[in-house]
Amino acid sequence: MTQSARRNAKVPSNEMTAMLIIFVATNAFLTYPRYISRNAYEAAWMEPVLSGALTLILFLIVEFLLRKYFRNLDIVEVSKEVFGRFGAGCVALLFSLYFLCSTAAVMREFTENVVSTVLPATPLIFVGAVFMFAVGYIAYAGIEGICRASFIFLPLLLVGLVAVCLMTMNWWHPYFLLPLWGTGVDRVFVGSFQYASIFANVLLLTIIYPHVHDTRATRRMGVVSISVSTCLLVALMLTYHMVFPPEETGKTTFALYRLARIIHMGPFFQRLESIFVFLWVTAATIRMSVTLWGAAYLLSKAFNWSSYRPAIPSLVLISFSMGMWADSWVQVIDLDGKYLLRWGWTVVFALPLVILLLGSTVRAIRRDRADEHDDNGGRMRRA
Amino acid sequence: MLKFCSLMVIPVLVFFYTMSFSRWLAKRAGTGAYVSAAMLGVISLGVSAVTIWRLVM
Amino acid sequence: MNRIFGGAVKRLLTVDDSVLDEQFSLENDNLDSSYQFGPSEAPPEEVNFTTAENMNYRTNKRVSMKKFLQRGEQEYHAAVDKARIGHDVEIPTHLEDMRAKLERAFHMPQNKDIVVREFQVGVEGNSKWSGMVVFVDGLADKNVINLSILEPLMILTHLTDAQPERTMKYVADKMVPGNQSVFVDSWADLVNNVLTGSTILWLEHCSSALVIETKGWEHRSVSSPQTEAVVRGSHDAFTESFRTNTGLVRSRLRTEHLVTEIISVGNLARTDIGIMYVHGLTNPSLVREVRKRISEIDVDFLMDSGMLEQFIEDKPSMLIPQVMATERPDRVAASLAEGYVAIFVGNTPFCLIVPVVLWSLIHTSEDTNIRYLPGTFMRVLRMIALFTALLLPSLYVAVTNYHSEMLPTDLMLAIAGSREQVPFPVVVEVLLMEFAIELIREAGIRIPSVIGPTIGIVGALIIGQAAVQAGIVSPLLVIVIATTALASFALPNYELSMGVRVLRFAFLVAGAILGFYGICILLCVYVVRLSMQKSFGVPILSPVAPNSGSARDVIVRGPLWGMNKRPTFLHPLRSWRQNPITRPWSQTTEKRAGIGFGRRRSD
Repeated sequence: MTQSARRNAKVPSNEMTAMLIIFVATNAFLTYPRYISRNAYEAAWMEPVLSGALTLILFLIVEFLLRKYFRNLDIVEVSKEVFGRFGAGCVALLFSLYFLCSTAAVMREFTENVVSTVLPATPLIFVGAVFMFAVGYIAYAGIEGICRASFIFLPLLLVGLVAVCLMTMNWWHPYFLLPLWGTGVDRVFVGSFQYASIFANVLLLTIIYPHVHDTRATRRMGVVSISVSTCLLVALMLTYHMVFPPEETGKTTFALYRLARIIHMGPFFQRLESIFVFLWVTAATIRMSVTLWGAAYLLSKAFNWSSYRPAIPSLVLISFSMGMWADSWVQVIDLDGKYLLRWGWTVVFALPLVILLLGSTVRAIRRDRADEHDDNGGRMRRA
Repeated sequence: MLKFCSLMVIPVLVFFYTMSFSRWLAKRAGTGAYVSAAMLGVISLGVSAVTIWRLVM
Repeated sequence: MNRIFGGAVKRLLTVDDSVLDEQFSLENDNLDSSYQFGPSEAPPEEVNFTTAENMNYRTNKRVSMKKFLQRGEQEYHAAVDKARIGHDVEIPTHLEDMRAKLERAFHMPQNKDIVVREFQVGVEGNSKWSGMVVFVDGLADKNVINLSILEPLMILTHLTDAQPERTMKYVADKMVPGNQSVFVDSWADLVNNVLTGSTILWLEHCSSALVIETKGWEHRSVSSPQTEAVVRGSHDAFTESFRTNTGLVRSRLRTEHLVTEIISVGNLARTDIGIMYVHGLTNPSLVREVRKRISEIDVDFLMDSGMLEQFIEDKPSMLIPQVMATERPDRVAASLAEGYVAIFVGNTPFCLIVPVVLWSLIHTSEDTNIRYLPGTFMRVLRMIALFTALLLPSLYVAVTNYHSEMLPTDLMLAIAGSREQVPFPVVVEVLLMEFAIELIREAGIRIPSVIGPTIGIVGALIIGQAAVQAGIVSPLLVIVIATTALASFALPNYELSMGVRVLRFAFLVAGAILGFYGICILLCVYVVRLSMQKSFGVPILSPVAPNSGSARDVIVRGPLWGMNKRPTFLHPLRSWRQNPITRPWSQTTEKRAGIGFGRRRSD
């Protein structure tokens, strides 16, 4: 394991793509379907499409800026150039706090899911602790381990999601999808923008950029990961809305579980929801380890630690405590919807973009000045 | 109380681990790193103590 | 009679604590270091072995771990140095000196294994010229010594030249018809050669001795493989002879680029370790790493490949082996041709292949010999066997304990009905049956082959049947455990199946405590753990993760004419192993050649 302890571990682009797909597609098992269904009713499936398109554009812009101005730098190093060391520390702290909150929220939601669906008699704290232990271990292995595991588990996830979509075929009612625009075009657009933060690809890209094995493949990586995960989310939302009437879809906290529960294909293939435990637990573990790794990595960058790994146990404890803080599941879902999902875009999209834009302006100005200086020098020498 | 104490074993161990990490950092990376790592340890211990107290008591 | 009885009564009635001293003890204060029986009849020991390192430390003073290890290292080196005293000196030139030195070195006359035969070389005239041959009884071939060394020198020779050095050269060149002979100048070489079964020919007044290869100890002949039998393929396996083993490989892979390096390991007794690779194909840094790891082993005695494996593998605490042990020469030859390195250890019938990837542990040499569709079928079957052996009991426990709703109602009722008689929780039931199966497996190795089948029937059928009828286990569970046992025997690598056997219990506990959720979490953690593990610089899950493109020989077995490149994770110096178009006369395969299916990039 020591070989991978390097901070500058390089990951091949197809493994990175797998990680990004899992990272985004995991939202299908979280409260995301509930919120967009509530927001757009029949048109809920359009929201991932619009959010995905928006993310894709932003991703390409960010990738362009990184490639042009900040080769092999991550967001903390860029903000060091813009805001100085203290500012960079604050930015990193903010991001890592976001990641910690995200880990905590996902942890609590998944733990509640597990307890309410398959292990009703097991104490919440025990299930959560096991989850966090696994997540901590995986994050400790570093981004290489996470990405390799994602690459191994991705086929499982793809097959599973497609299976859920197809095996509910005998319950499909395509007319549930009408009227086409649901609650109205404007609400769909606003909702897509608001809930776009599930596509954290942009922020992740700015962090993992120095770890990408082949920076030329980054663009393809982004495009593939965003489009595949969008397709998965859209397929799931379409199925979900074809199976359940729109008023009901906004009330469920765990869309995939409800879908899996109604699978009934003859006496043998029925009630398969337990099998899908494998699917969502794996995906959730990987997603949480990415966010936890991100938090530790950013902290180590902010405070100039020489390794991020020893901080992982503490961070595990902190996010576990944060996750267990809320009294009930409903409260968690409320908080998640109100703050993390609703305002996540500021951290996930706006802030990295602003920093990168500022950074590239700074660099461009410096470059101009240097050119001018060179010109002046040349002129003076000539004179 | 016994339950609380037994559950606190892990946070305390993690606290010591983080503290030795911060001492290690003090040798390698300087005061800023040392203080921040120590603060991380203290925060994690405090937060988990409060949470476990709330959960158990 | 009376006296014996009286003695016993007397011993019963008298208080005598000398009874405690009657038994022999090693822990006495008598530090006499010689091995002699009585008064000196052999020359005194040259080396005093009774020094600090083999005195037992009686002190209670605590030392730090670092200091303790340092002290251990120092003592070990001191002992090794002492054992080597006199090794770097020259060979004596006088008969008396030589005799004395040999007696000291080989602890004669107590040591009866060493044979020293003194003789006179046939010389014209009255002057006599003495010499001796030295060999180990049982290691050397006596016929060769009698007919090729002693007979020519004693009977057929009539030398006239008086210059010993020149004559020695003449003797080696013209008179001793051994096929391998070499002059040695140092005492250490002489001793080592005697111990490897060669015969030393020494003649008086010469400063060097002639080593003649006469190895000829008894060993098992080449027979069929015990653990890796196949239907289609060769049926010979390695045996307990180093040279036979290397020869078996070389006879298959007949290239002048095949190199066998030999490193001797061991300070007390030396074991030859052969490193075999193909020069110009195998990655040189891999060979260097293997050489480095082996030559840094500093032990007294290394007997078997299983021991060497533990000294050189990356992480011995992993349950999955990071070195592949095989007894099949064809497998070694195929691996060498792909760019792997093979390691032969002394006279052990197992050869090690490094590095190893997890997938190659579930391959057999038969896969390549049969056509690719059945080959793929067998590999997929073994992959399923791997997961069955690992997960089936834990899944059964999880389903019956936590997820009974996923079973069809009839089946669930059947399980519940069969479990009604059973007084234990499912996990205890599973553990009981696993224990029984493990006992049968372990006993099966050691049961004398005459009664083996009988005991097998008793164990498998009667115990299983009786346990069900007695209501200790449910009938379905017997099926589950039997399937698991079959699956674990279907794994072709013994070490892997042992690892899986142990891991299964971890999954069983996880499944018993947390159902599918626990199994899944453990699986995630273990996959990440495996994905971070390397074997001699190659990630053990490659070429799947990290993905390196040559994935056609992993779970599926691609058509032979399409697998054009060697595994990229080995970074061989020659990456193409065949012409991209190997079936030019066939239109269908020509189109596919170089593109093939199941591959990610064009090879």
